Amino acid sequence: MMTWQNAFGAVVFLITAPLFISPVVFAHDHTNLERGIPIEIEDAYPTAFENREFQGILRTRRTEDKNYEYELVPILEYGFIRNGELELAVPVRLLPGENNDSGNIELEALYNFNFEGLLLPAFSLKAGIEIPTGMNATGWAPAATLLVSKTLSRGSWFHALHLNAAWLRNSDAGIDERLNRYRITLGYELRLDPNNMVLMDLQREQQKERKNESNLFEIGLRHQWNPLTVLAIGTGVGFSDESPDFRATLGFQRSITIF
Amino acid sequence: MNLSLNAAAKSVAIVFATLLSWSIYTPHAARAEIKIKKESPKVERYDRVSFMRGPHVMKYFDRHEKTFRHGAAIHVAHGKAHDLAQRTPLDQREKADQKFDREMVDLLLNKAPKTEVEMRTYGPYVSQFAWDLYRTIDWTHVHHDQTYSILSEPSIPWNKKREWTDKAVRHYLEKFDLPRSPAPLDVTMRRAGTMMKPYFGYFRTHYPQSNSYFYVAHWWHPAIYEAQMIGGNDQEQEKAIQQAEANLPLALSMRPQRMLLSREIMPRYSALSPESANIFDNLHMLHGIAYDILTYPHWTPAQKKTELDRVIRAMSYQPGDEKLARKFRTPRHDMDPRRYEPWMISVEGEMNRIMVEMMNEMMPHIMPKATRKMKKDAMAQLWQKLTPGLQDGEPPGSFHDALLKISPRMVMMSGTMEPGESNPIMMQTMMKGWTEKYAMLPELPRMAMTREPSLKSLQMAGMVNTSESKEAQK
Repeated sequence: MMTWQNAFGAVVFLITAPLFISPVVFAHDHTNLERGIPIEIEDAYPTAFENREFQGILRTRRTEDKNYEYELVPILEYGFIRNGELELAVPVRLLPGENNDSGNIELEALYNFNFEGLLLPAFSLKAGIEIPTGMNATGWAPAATLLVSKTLSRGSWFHALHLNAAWLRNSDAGIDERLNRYRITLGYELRLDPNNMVLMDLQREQQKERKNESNLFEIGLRHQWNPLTVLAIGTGVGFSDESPDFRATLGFQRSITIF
Repeated sequence: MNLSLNAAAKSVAIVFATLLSWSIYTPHAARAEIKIKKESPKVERYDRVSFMRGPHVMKYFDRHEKTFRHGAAIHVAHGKAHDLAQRTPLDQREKADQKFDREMVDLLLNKAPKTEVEMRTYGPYVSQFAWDLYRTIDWTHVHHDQTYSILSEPSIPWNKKREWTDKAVRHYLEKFDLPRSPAPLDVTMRRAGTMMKPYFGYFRTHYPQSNSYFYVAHWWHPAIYEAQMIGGNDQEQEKAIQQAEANLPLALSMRPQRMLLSREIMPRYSALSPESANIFDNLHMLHGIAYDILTYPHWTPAQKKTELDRVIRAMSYQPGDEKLARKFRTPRHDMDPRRYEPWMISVEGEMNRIMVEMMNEMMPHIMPKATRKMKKDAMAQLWQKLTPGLQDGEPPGSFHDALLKISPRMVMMSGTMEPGESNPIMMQTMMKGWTEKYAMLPELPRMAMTREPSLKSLQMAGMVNTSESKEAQK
């Protein structure tokens, strides 16, 4: 018998499948790591100037209570200035519960300050705001992230380290919720061959609920399916009480060429 | 009075005719004064730009995937060669050269990747001190892809190919801060002034196999353009490309001994868009110079970056370059890109003609009291340096060192051998030499794109030189 989760998965597949075969898009962003595609780590480099890209993330996680939660995130990304990008995302959550905040609009801008040197890493700053347009949403949630990237290679084998340090604010925190919290992610990127990159990260995040913290280890693969399509698949496991048991992500990236 | 009126009319006519002929033939002489902005930023900007949108996007991949993959494999080799040249110790070069060549030939013929790579994913070490070099190369590779795609896209009619190619050239030049120049290599090489630098010819001498792999690549790229140019929009394009591609193993076994120029291997495309053709030559030359600099063992990465930045800027677009774009000849305008011919293999050709011309322009200034024998010896040394590998009787090291042995009193401006430094007097002398030789050269006529080409009619009209081809097949 088909569960509602399976039905949801089938609907998402049917909606997103045409995008994978559409001739109107082009991806050339293989090395530019995006948060959530397929794991949380992001590099310090923006998309190319004037690039317009459509991204999609389908994520599922198993909670401590052995429930499965699903999230679908469509994202539009635009290289609006040189060395800078703008992202607009509307995560849709399908939880067993009330789906609070599902449909909030997330707007983020990233600016890169430099390309790395032999010793100096690359630095970017990202500022974002979550606008309470979703279900039962209340406060605005600003965030700021420092992104650092450093290539480790001393030969032609490409591998790099990335660090993301985020400050997240909940402007409408309840009595049991944090007003300010942090999220730190340390990631590693390795080129396997021209078409494949393997990624790993370790993330520690303070949850909205006071005293709750989660730790997550993720591993993922970014595969350039053809010059039109980057596909990504990732999985993660939590290793503390409040962490998700298990998490899996499918993602894709494509540059829009119709305008 | 009548007489003087006639004289006045004649004078006006003469002035008018002179102005007219001036406007037709020359006015695009190179600027007398060359000022290349000296800039070598300590911290580089990421600064990447997106591709031009249009109906052509990715058509090259869709229509000619195998060919696209060959290009991607060559770009892997380009990326990897940077770290090879920079990181290999002197005593391991010979082995490293053979290993690199073996691996890259295998990748090209048997394991060509299905997607393009960025330089930094295969040459990550050098990316960390010469990022401007990489983004310049990557951006020009994007231009390669765009222009192949424009010729591949059948919905762009044949008579609109130029319009779209010109649009791609404008996008290339205007959106990026360090585009390659659309001026002929004859001009940009004189501006770069690398011949007397201590690294000149190092990669060619120490990595002869890898160097000749790239000479094959620089035959292959234009041969594919030219196959598209003779194939037209229809299925003959596939046929012509397959026939040109079939020569790849032959070219790898009998490699060109010089860098082949666009004007030699893609004369029709050069006539369609001399700007685009020159951009490719300027990129291919930049590859070679960059490998020379990285192979040179006596400079630190910071010094190499300074010199690379100088060369990148000298060979990049300068205001007025577009007016020089058509100032070259196509020596074999009817060549057949589906044939791999003996003249493509010889060390003698357009590239080395430019080098010899430059040497002849420099010689009276650097060796003012040279005897005829000294001049002859100097030229023989140049030819040895231009030939891949260490030749019999060729002293290892730079061309400058070789010249010092012939003419110990050679005159050089102090400091001009140093990284980031150039010799403005020499550059201007060479530019003057170019102006004297080529400023009056009629501009290369535009390729008529009114009628789509057909392989059959091309053969019947004798537009491809079959006599040499038959000889080559033997």
